[in-house]
Amino acid sequence: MKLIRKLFYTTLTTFTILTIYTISSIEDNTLRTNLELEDITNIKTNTVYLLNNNNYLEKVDIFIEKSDVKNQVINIINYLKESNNKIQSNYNGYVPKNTNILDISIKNNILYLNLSKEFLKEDFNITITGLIKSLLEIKGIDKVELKVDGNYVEGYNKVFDKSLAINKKYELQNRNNINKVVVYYMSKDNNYIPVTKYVNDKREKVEIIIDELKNNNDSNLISYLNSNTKLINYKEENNIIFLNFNKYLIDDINSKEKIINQIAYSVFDNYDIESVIFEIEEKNINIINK
Amino acid sequence: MNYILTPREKEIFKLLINNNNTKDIAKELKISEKTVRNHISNVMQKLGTKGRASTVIELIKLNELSI
Repeated sequence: MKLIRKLFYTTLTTFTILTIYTISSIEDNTLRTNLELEDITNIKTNTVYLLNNNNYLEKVDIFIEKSDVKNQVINIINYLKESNNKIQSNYNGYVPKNTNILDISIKNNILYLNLSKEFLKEDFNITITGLIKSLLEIKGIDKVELKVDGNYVEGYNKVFDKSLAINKKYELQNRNNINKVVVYYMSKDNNYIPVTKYVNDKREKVEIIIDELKNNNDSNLISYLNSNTKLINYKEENNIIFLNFNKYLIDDINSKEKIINQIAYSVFDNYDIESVIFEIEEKNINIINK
Repeated sequence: MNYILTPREKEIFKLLINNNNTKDIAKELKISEKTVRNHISNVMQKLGTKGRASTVIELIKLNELSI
């Protein structure tokens, strides 16, 4: 009996140790796999904007074949086509399937792109915005000059940069104190959705960002910021912005990363700065670099 | 390429969205207040809008005015 009990406990202990080792190995292996994937394979991660089922352009990471900048552009244009069945089911492509690239060149980090007339379909605002924003995510491209069938698109800039508005929302009651602010929300799939808001509010953009994230009432745009959060003070110096909050900034530790990132990405899109330093009651809690 | 606003109309509306009134705009551009009002009315007619606020909002939506 004693022997059987001894055997049982030994077996149980061995099984437990093996289980713990296996789980941590899997996690380690997964982390290593993600980190080394680009080194050991011929694919890389790119960020593109896909249309979600609520008609928002959502930032999604995808894997595409490693290549030079020009081929990345071609691969991304093809990826974003309506006909691409490799896109996950909860997203849609929007570039018309018969769109051809008539001309493409890159000089001084400016992409010169001439697409065929099939690119312009009815209501092409999403098509242009999503494509341009996706192409601007490619390292080595700072601006995009877009032509369609050799002509600039009427009603749009000739050359686009990252200031291009996306997922526009107009909350204007009058013509005074109009301000344009980019606010980063999240989707149910934990991706980011930047929204350009036009508001009658001449306060500093960072104050508007915090208020918008606190008081969100659109169920298709998620904000993790507690409504009791208060931006006590802030300052900008040497390309860094310091944001000092009350204790409600992080009231749920599980959402900390999402909250910090939502605010930081919003700030980066509205200010020409390199870092955001987060403080709670003047104690440094996080630094996010661009 | 066709734009909705003429260069002069664009100048006027840029001043308008920076909280300037008719008198301020006339003084800045060295034109009469009547001329300013005529330009604004022309744009409203083109867009089919009523009121300066809705005209400004429409122009922003059409990318004719940038903030």
